[in-house]
Amino acid sequence: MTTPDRRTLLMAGASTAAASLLQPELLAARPRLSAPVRVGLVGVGRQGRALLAELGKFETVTVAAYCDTDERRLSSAARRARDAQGHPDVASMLAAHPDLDAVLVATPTHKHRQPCEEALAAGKHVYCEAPLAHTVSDARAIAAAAASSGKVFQTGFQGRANPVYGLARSFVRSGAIRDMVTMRAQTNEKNSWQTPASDPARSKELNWRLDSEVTLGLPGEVGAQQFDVFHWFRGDYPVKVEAEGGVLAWRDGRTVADTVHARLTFKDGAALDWAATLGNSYEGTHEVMMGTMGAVKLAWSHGWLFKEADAPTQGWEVYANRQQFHNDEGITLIAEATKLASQGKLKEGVGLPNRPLWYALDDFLKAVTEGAEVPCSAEEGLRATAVAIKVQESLLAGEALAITDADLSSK
Amino acid sequence: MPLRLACPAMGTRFELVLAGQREAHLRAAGEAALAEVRTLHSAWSAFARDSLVAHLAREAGGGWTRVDPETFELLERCVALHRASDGAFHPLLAPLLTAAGLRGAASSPPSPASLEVSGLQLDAERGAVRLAKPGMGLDLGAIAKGAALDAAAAILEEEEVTCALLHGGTSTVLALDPPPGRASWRVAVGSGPTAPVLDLRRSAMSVSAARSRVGTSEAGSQGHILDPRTGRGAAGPQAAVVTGARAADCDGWSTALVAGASPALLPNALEALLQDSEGHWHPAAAGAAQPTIHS
Repeated sequence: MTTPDRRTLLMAGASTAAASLLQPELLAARPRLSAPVRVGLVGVGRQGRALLAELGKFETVTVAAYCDTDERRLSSAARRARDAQGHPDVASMLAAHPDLDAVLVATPTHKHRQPCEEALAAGKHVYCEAPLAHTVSDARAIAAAAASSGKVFQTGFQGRANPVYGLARSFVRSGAIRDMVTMRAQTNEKNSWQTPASDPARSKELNWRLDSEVTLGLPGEVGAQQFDVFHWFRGDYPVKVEAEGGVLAWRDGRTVADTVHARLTFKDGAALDWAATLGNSYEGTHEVMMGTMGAVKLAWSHGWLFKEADAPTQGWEVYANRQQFHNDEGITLIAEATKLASQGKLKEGVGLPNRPLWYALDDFLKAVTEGAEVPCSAEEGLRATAVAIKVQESLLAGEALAITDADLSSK
Repeated sequence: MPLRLACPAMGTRFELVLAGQREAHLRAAGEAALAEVRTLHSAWSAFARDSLVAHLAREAGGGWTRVDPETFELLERCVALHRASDGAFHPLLAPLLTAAGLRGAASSPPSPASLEVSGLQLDAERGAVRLAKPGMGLDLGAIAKGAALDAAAAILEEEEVTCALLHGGTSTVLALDPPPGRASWRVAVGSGPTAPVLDLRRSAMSVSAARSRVGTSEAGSQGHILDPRTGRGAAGPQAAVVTGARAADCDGWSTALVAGASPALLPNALEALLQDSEGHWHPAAAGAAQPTIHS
């Protein structure tokens, strides 16, 4: 969702960054998609269902076809996409529906490459869920296919499409928290990650996140989205990573860690401490960036700015909506603050009006129909995926690993 | 030892009690069932800005939205229940509840047009929904917990977990098969010597009370269940318990009875108890079948 207006904001100085809290109509004004788009969906499991739910909110989008290798999921999708035709694989879907404009890939991470390559080869625009792949070689192959296709390709790192994150980034990039000194992020949930299936073969297929041969574990399946937020805000990538973890919550014979801590260090010495567990849900999922004049906390649908006591006071703070977190007071980042403040409805603006996934799809569909820039290209998706893979490698190796430019390269 | 799993959703706590031999499978199936509850919560919440219900309200008077089959079926059920209860059950009360101070700050009364159920337009062929006029808004709080329990139970059964008790905030309960050696799941409604006790097996129960929550507006305070036909606090019984096969029906009808629906309108497949102003429980209608009660 990079717009000329946002670029203007990003180039603005710190004083205008403060004002941008009251000028976020620039970010919130999202013209409706007007042109029709016919899409095919690859993978109709958990994420495929979420995609279908959000696509239903776009009146001009038609889900014409879908495919999945799992018969039960195909059967379930027939109820959810009632005008669409189901297929057992992407090749037959593409062959039967040459009029598709775009293909959305929501298969397990290690099965992204084939549908991406086949869809691009068939001349379709592609949205691929993040991370891009489970290996750097697959991610590079996808990025190469995207580059040579001339088609729109978007990787589903959603932070880059999220208006609250865009607003927060404009603050951070223009110096509102001054020098970034430390960062932290977490994904905490209480969930075994087991998908029920009585048949052993089907169970192995559905429980790929716990299959040590193919999974990127917590660093890839939840961490990658968060790492990329920091890449995007900072404009650089970590140069070193050290991870550790183990099976602490679900001692059911699994070997894939259910609790992980990692430190990702950037070139300027600042470090991101990231933790994830499947054993406890306290404070859920969020990212925090701390600078010498303030901190930003982001939780996907919400965001807050915490000012240091010696940070300058801005006039716009009079209008700000605030929330108390124990001893700290957060100023809520609101995407339509000026308009809502003038209507006396500032509190109604707290929280995004749509899911983060909706914004990612909106951006993709506008790239397809209007030629807009995608928020996360295949190249950017590759780099963020490569970082997550390094974190998982460090976890498995039990040692710190360097991340070089070559690791992030598309060659 | 039964396995208990729980999650917060729909402003309350959903809990599953599962019995069976394979704990790992029970847990996986239970987590899938709770994931479904959370998915439906995020679609049906009247409080979340990013819910499907909020999206439909923003689009009111505008275009159509294709919705998931669970939502479409629920809305069809809402329209049918509205008609069957002679308007006592009403799925479009969001503006009225806001005006009554039951959804944040009280606001001015809604226009009568925004409460017309004919404005809830359903296109069965496309699975699409539209609210016809600006200002309209769904509030599914009177039926959503039950519908979520029905959906969760369907997932458990798909995964061959058949011995289970599910509840949403304890006010709506759905029982599958009882634990081994038991004839039923026994559920008490409230406490005290006169509290009804129900034996549930392959059946559901829901209880609604007139003043379990109170809102305040310029017109004074009133219970959270409104009679849609008057816009005021319900004049029906203090509380209603409804039992039947589907939790959604029990949930919706218990609200409708407290809101003032005539007990004579209750479908034959459902049974009910009503609590009078002195706290005594009575069968909903003379001659109607009654739940098994152990007082």
